[in-house]
Amino acid sequence: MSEIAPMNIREAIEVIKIISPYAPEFTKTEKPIKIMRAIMEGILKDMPAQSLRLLSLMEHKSIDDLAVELNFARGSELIVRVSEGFGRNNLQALVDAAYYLRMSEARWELDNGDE
Amino acid sequence: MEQRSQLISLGGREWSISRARLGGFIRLQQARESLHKGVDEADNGLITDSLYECLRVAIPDLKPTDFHSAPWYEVFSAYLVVEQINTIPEHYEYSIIRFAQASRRGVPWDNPLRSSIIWIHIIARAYGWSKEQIENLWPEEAVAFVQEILADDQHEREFIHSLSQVAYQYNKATKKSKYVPLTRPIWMTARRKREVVTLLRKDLLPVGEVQYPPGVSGNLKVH
Repeated sequence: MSEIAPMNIREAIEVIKIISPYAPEFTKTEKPIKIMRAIMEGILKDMPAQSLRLLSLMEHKSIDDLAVELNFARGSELIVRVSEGFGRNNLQALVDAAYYLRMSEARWELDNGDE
Repeated sequence: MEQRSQLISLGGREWSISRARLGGFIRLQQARESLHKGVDEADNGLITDSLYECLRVAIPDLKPTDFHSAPWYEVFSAYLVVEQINTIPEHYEYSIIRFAQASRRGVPWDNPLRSSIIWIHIIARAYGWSKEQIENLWPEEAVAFVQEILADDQHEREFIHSLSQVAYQYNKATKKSKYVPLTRPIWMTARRKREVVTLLRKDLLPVGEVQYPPGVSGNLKVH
């Protein structure tokens, strides 16, 4: 299986635009499962089609190809692959980039450990 | 003047990024304004093109294909290095920068090039230098020249104002005229606050061994 290359700058800017509205929520925690829940629940509630766009940007595939692939996959496949995409592309650095480019006002805060 | 440079990795190659002269500093300023405009208008193409222009200030040989194929984190790191290396060092402490106030309304003749042309205009008008000579200055030199030119212009305006009748307000009650000076911009009037040193009488100082909190510097200690 060939390794997926990291995003180029144009793809990264578009991913930042998609996830920035949910940054105030997911930057409050360090726990990956809470981060992914905040991002995916937000996207699937507001703009479900953007979830496929997110994956297409991170895996450099067309939305049509992804729709066919995911049609025959488990329900959690999308979330797993998006999570892997954030791992390859360093979600924390994406959030920092969004902040420095003034595309988002959110920065990472430490989890208070209550949950 | 400071000549800073740093090595970065971009698109599989090592590049040496050096500090830009005023010409590059102005182009970087234009690219930054374009970037902010792209962010405000959510224009991905403009954001990407502006980042490319920012990097081209420091790496003139950077091709669009290399830029668009490089990993995003390398591009962003390079952008941060270019921004950081081209800041005017803080120790110069220019009053005109410290107290800079952007005009909220703008001027009727504003245009996209104005913020960059104005540098050349102010210095050329005062000294008669060419555009190339001015663009070859270091940014901190240019700020110093601009600051002195604007201060001289203000002093000349004040002198002319003091010779005119409008500078003297007549008070009908006292039947006297009072000179009203021209208002100076804030950067010519604001001063850095001096630290106040309070001297204590010796008999009011604490006796014995004093336990200071961590981090207290020597000049704040009474013994």
